[in-house]
Amino acid sequence: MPESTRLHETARFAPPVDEERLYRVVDGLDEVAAETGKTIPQIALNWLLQRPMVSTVLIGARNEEQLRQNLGAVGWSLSAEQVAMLDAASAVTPPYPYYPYWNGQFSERNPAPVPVRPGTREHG
Amino acid sequence: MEYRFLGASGFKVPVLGFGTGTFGGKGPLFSAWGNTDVDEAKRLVDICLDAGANLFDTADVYSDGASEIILGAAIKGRRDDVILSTKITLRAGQGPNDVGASRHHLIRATDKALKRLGTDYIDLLRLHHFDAMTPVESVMSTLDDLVRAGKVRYIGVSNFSGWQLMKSLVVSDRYGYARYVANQVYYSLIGRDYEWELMPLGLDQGVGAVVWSPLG
Repeated sequence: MPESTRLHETARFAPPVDEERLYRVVDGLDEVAAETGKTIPQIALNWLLQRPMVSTVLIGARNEEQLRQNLGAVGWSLSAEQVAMLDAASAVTPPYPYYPYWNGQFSERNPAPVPVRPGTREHG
Repeated sequence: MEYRFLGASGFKVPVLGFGTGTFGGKGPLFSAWGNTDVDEAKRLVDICLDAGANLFDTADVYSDGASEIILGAAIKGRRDDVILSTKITLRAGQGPNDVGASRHHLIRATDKALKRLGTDYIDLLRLHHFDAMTPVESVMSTLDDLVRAGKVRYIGVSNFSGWQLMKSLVVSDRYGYARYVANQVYYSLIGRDYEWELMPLGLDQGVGAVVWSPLG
């Protein structure tokens, strides 16, 4: 972790992240970065902008360079394949009562707002 | 810049907004986020406005009010070009009533935010968290008064669970009060919990997501 990161002081404000999952997501982001030439923050923001119900995504910046880079998250779109790959890399199994909806048991009457992978567990 | 509806409000916001938790830098948490001063804040606001990212989000507790003061100074003279969004209800003072969503604190905290921001209206006011000790009827009635008084245009929440948000919406509907149209949530590739309950709720009820900490 770089010295300048704010994470040392602020990590406790967001839920903890399983390390294995973190590595899967970072690997996925690296792969998409190589394909698109975009930076990892730009890809992570662009993924969010393709999710249902997202009106606005708040970007932060401690300097002009960070801000300009984050603003470069719009004006282009990840491909459907890239989104699906990041979906799979970041997927987790939700707790009950979400679990049976997530794994497709009730999907005839409850279509999921985002793609789910019926019958799969933690790993993609 | 792309603009999208903020939930079921008819009001459009840019898909990228600027979070000003880095403005001010007072205290151990906020100094870790950043310590942007007014001159730098003006430059950052310029860059955002050039790109069409005209929504600026702050909170009364960010650097103990300094974030709102710096943002207010940075947008001075261009209030009509920006969408201002702030949050109240976290403890903001030592007094027994300097916290929560009581009528007393909601009105006072809104008036203080208006003064710090140097404006006479807030585009989007959000509760920073649920207050289980104030009746929801009182909360929604007060927020409705703030909207009718012209101090606030749209209302929303942050960090609510599904039942807390749904109960609030039902109270608004029962009495004809202003309705929450925005839910400020943590959502990222490494934190997709929003999708399980709050996203389907947002789709059903017309409550749009304002995403915080999008990079995890």
